Amino acid sequence: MAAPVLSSGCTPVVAEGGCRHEGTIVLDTSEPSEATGWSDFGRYVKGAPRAMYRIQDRICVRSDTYLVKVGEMFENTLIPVAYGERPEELRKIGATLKNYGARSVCLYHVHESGSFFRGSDISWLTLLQEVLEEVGLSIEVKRGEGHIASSIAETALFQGCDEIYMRAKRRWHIRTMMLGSVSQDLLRISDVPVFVHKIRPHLPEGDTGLKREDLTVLYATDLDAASVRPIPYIKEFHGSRCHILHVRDRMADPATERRRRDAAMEDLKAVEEELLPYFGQVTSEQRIGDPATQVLHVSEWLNADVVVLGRKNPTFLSGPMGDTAERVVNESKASIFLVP
Amino acid sequence: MIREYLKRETVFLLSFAIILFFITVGYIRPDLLDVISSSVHAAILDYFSWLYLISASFFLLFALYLAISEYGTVKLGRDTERPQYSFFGWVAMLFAAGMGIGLLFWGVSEPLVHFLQPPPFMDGTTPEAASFGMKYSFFHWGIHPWAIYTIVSLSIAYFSFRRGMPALISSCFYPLLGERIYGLSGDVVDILAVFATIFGTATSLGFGAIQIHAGFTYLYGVSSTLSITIGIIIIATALFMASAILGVEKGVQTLSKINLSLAFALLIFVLALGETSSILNIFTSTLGEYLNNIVDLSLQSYPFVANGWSRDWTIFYWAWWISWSPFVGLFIARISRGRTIREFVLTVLTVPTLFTFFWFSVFGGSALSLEQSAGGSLGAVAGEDVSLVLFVFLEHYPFSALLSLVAILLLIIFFVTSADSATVVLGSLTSGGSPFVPTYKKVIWGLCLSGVAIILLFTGGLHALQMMAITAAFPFMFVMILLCYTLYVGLSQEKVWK
Repeated sequence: MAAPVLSSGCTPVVAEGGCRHEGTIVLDTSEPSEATGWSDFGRYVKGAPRAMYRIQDRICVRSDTYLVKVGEMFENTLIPVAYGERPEELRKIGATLKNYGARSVCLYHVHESGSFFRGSDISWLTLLQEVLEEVGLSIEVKRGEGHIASSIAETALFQGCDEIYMRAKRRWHIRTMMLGSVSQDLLRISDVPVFVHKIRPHLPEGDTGLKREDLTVLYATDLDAASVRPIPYIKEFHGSRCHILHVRDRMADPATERRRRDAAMEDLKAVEEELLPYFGQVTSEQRIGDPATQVLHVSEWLNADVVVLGRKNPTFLSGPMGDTAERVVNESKASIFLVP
Repeated sequence: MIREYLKRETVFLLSFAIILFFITVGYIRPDLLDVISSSVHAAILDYFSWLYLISASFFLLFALYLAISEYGTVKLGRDTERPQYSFFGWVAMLFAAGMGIGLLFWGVSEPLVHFLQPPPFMDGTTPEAASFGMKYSFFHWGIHPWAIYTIVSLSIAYFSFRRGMPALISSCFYPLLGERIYGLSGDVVDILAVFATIFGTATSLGFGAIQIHAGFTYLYGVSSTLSITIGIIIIATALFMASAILGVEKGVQTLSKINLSLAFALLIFVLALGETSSILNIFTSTLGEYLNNIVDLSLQSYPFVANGWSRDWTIFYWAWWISWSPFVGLFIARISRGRTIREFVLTVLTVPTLFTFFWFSVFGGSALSLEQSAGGSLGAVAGEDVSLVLFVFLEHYPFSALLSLVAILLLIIFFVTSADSATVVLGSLTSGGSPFVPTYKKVIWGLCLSGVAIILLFTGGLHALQMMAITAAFPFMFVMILLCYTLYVGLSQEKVWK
């Protein structure tokens, strides 16, 4: 694997299965790499050009400018809150985020136009802030207004947040279908990774928070550029098990199907090797069919806690049908972590 | 051993059993068969006639999209392959495969029938009715039938020549069914293709036999009883089965070429001795009207004033073309190896269509001119028996007896060559796509084709033939819609995986 040019002068520590960088560095690989393995890089800086290409049927990612912050992927988290939020619930969330390396949290409240509470008492927000501070996190409280999801996404970007954490609210299915939900909108528009907490993982009572080793992660990958971006985040989860799932179309004839299956298997093995140091067990499989249906099926079969996905550009049919992430977030019992 | 045979021959045994059951019921209880087929036919038309219109239009748009998109450059074969037949030879074979008997049967009579009995919102025997008749004849025999053939033939050609799979409809379903194409799911697809081919071809053979009989009755005063029509079918069956069993492919090819030359000669003769400039005027103005109204024609079912008319004509034709499509599709695919998708689609959609338009202008246009000038002699015949119109029409030309004899000869040869090809195609469809078909299968399918045609004539004549064509085409229409999807999936993988 050809080493990328490091403009900041940091030394990459090469480990088995890829490079491992400590601290914050800027990778400059403007010279196209002849690499055929997986690049190890971190958070994507908005505006940086990205490209994917194939060398001898292997997927490679060319990153021109990436900010790498391995080890600090969840350092600063934005949590959208609304009136009626339960402090004890937020305490459990704060404890869990701390276990995952969070140092600061931005509590963000969006006024809904015509809301009864507009501009009035915000003592409930102060209470939430105090609860999180007790856990040991540095808290900043912000308020905004307008379209809820857009406002959250914009603030997360300007605040330099590493992720947005939100709890999915139970709604009538028909309402979600007709009007969508804030989490659906966030998944669609956010430029910052979004964690939508659903039924799983169950947060333990008290201040202990969820431990990394309790987590089962399902990583749904298309083996393309969008699916490579979540890899540094998956490493941060450090769970007990990571299952890599590749869902694809069937090829048009048996011979090509065999070739495609073998190539996908090879790529999956490479991802497995990349993730092995970070999980107790790493497995992979490929399936043929509708991605959302298969992800939901495997997620239930695996009893996964988190489904990690990369966001793709919407296709023609994703308008009326909903794209994979939207469908998964609607129907999954596992939480969704989507990396844009 | 027996279990292995049953497994290997599932498509053949199941489709033969279904057809045999149909023939047996038709023989023992023709009234029951008539009731059942009428109910199914009525239900299909009541609920799904709109689907035929939308599907045919979609097939046309999809074929055009493939031609003008980046997929147009994909070859039906390996990248280095060249076309197996010369362009003109290929076009001649396309035309012979696609239309045949139907052109002779409807060439004169369809514009005339529309002229005499237009939809209720129009008065008959008016200049508007004449223009309407020509426009709808162009529409029913125009670009849509060829778009329907294109979908099936393109799919078979792509999956067999480029993807190396057997020349079966089920092969095209690999992207959807995977290895299940070798199991029951694939068998069902092939059985539906066999079913459509049997009834589509039997309908054409029925038309052919009725018209040959009408010709003999008109020329030589032969009795017009049904038993004579059945006798004609039996004799023709003996001829085409002999040809299929003896494997005289070269002979059949020669017969096809002779037939095309005869048809062309008849066309030139009528054009030269008729009102040539009037015919050419009819051709150009109807072509203009057709092109100008193609969107309206494609989706028009006259729901408020003439829905029944649309069902009797347009829906029947679309169903008939769909039921012919596995047979014609397999044939066209076989002769199109080495051509690009763009070349294939644009040629198949334009060249035979233009020739058909010209045929209708010459025969239908001349008949309308005669009807308007001679004062209703053709119309009176068309009102009674559409199969006679061709021979009454030829009466208006010199050497009419010879011309009628040529027409009968053309019908017989079209009958024999179409049935022979259909027998081979049915044999291949029920032998895993193999070009080497065992003789017993050829015999069985030959007898089945004629048996179905006889039973349909026996139960309800022309109407029964039309009803069964619509019914048999219905399930295959869904197969065709899925073919569009699988073809698109295959082509979209071209860039990365070929």
